[in-house]
Amino acid sequence: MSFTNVEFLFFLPLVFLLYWIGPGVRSYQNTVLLFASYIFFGSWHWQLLLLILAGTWLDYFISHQFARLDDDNRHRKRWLFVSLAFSLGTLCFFKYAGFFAVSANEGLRALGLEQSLPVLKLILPLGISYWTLQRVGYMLDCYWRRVSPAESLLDFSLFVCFFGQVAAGPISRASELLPQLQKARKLTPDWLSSGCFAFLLGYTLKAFAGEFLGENLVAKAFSAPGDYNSLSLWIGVAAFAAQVFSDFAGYSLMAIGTARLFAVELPQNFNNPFLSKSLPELWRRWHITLNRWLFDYIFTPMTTSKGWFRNRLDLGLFCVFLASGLWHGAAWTFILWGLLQALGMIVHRNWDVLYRGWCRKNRAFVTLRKSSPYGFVSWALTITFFILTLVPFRSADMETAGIYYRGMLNSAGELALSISPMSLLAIILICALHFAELRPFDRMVRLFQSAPAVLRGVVYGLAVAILVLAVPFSSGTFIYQQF
Amino acid sequence: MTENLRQMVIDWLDDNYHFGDAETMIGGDDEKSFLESGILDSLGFVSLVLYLENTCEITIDRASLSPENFDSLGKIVRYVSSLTEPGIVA
Amino acid sequence: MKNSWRSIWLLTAGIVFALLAAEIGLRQIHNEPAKLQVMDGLKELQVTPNILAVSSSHGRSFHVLGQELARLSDQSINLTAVALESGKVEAMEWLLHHRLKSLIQDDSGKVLEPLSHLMFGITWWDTCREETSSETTVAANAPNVVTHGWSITDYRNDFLSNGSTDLNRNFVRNRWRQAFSESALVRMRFAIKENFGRFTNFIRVSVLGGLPESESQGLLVRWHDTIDNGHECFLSDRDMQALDRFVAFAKQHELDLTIVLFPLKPDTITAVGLKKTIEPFTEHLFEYGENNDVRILDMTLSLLDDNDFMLDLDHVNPPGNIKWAKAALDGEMSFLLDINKKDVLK
Repeated sequence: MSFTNVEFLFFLPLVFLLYWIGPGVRSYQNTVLLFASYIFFGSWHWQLLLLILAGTWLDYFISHQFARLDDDNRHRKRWLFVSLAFSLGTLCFFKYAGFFAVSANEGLRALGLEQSLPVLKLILPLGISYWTLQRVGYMLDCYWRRVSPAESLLDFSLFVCFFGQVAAGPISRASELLPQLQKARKLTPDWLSSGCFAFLLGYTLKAFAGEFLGENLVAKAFSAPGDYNSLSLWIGVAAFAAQVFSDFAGYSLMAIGTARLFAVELPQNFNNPFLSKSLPELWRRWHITLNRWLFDYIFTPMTTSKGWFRNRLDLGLFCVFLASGLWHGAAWTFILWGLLQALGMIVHRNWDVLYRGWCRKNRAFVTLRKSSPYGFVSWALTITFFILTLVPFRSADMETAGIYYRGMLNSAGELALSISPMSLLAIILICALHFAELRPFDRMVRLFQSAPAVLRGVVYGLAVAILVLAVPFSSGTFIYQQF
Repeated sequence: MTENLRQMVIDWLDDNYHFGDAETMIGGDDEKSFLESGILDSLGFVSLVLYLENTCEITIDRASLSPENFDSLGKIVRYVSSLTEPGIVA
Repeated sequence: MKNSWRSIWLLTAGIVFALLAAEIGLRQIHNEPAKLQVMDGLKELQVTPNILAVSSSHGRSFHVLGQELARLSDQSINLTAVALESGKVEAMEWLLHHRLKSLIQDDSGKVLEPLSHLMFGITWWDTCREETSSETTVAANAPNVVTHGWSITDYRNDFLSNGSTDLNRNFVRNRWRQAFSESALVRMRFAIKENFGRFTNFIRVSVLGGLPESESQGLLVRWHDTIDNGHECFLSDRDMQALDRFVAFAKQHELDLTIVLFPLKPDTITAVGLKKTIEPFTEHLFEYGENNDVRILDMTLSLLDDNDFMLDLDHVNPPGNIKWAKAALDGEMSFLLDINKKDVLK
């Protein structure tokens, strides 16, 4: 089941009712949510529920070992190893076993050897990349004593598998989510209205904008990049950036909205990324919870450690984005994408160091950096770089990516993409969302928010009616679930 | 001492990132989030930790290495002063 | 933003108001009743008719045929049409065996009175398999069986063994749609899909009075292409075997079977399409009818012209349905008017 599946329309109201009509105590609320979460997860493949249960129980046990072993660092380390081996082991097994076998076989063939490893065809457990990271984060936090282990297995099980986020995040920190699950929740008008709003907006983005852009522009350009002219290929990949944004930011908003209906706040996952003026800023605005995880648990511990890695920031960035590429998928195209991001971040950091050196010598550089032309150039470079690196991200294989890049520079074919009215509307919607943060549009947003409730209701109602008529039938696929 | 520590962080921000504008950016609100207001990013955060460790001769353990302790001027000052004996930070 | 329960109620009232307004507004401009689906046919079968017509979505024309037949026979001859959206012989045969059979026979397996005739409306498309599918179940090959044919038990069994899948989700989606079948908004959503393909086309037709020449031309070209190449996929083994089972069922129950080759829009068929797809298909079916002693009526191009079809260039429009029903009952199907007399003679 996913938020855009029809079953969810039955599932969500049912869980909502059960959750709020019962006694308003933590144990009842968490039991309802946990059962609902297991049904949500199990409807995908109930056998794989065993995997999530095993992981939950193991980590619950180990986290309490951390507390019990207080000063016995050797044993604590051993338990941490067991936990990470299980979590990351299953992740790697399900995600990368096939890729490694195929790559190893190619390598063997290149060496003239005929033996081949068996290639397993595995079903990827729903959201494994997301809940594995959330649990690993929790275990490291417990190990480093940033949080104390959850007392109740019920609370912890829910933390691991809450249906609002199990399929595709946002990845929460233990310190954000656990305390919310450890006390009873109360339904307020704010939870209800902000939840519904986020869900509706998310759905609009995902099912409407994402679908149209994908169908009208992206799929065409990437299926036969050799047939299109340069301009079309540029439009195609820019539309892909907009599509992934709509798809994933939309899904994240639906997750946040769903959680709010149960009076739980999940962290923000996208914050108008296309306004970014530098790559680090982009990665603070795009898939926020993943990048923050990578920086919290890889970059910072590595670069502030006492060992050789201390202060080797470029190397840290390299590791973070290589991990990010691998996390997105077991394919060379994703690894290339990760390496390109790492390169971009390293170049940016060194430029920044250099420029700050000039600033120290001459304040004119400080003024220049704050000027609009500098801002505009930074923005254009950042977004162009980001869009360009999406080519391997979307391409079926490295060869297609190569054809695509060449076509962008030098028209390979004659065909031209034409932007359909619906795609144009989708682009306008995405721009409007981004502009809502900027002046003078933020005032219009506030004006709308302060309008009489009935009037706002009418606007929402009309939006729903238009969605009913216009949402394409194919909507329901989700790019980011496969990661 | 806390005043010295506060000035030390401001000076570091000025030397490395904001070149005289740090105080203006903080705008008198010592609890303003560094990450949210763009005063410091993840990279800057690591550099600041390394700087504090080296200069104040302290060790910031993993438990404390989280935004909760370092995301604002006030938090940094409180955290670092809790680790240092009076007099070390001159 | 601080909300009170009062403002939530007001907000909800606003939403309900807007949706109601949209609903009422749409009823003014679009008040076609919901299209007949399998479920409607099943409901009608609670009363056994004289004639049961099974077909793809074209079966809606058979419904009109039934009305005409009832009128001409002073309500003494009844026809129930079961229309399975997007067709395929295998899917329609599945429907006969899994859903219809139990409604038209008694516990001993004898067909209920007064049912004596079975009609099966197909076109070449219903025997076409575009790719060699490795799937073994009918449902996996024809999701329309899941959407329109499955009962809740079928869904439950599939859900318990496979979990929630893209395939069995079709069933839930259709039930959801049924729940709102009275809503003009929902009916319009499906009407737009079926008649215009997409929302923007609908807007263009409504505002400009028609699709730009290039668009409707594009659709026509796609139909030409489909029919020209139809011979590559038609008369598939799976569907012809299903046809055998269909015929066997009729024989076993001593039902008079007529296979109707349903009308197609003449301008969607090029000379190539006629020679390579339509004619070979018709010839094959006539041969099949001779070998199996089944009546074949070829109406592919004989009774209707281009104006009798909808914008999708596939389905017959309401006036076309009446024209077809009258012409058919006046001609090759006139024997239907005599079926009661025949019974007496027997």
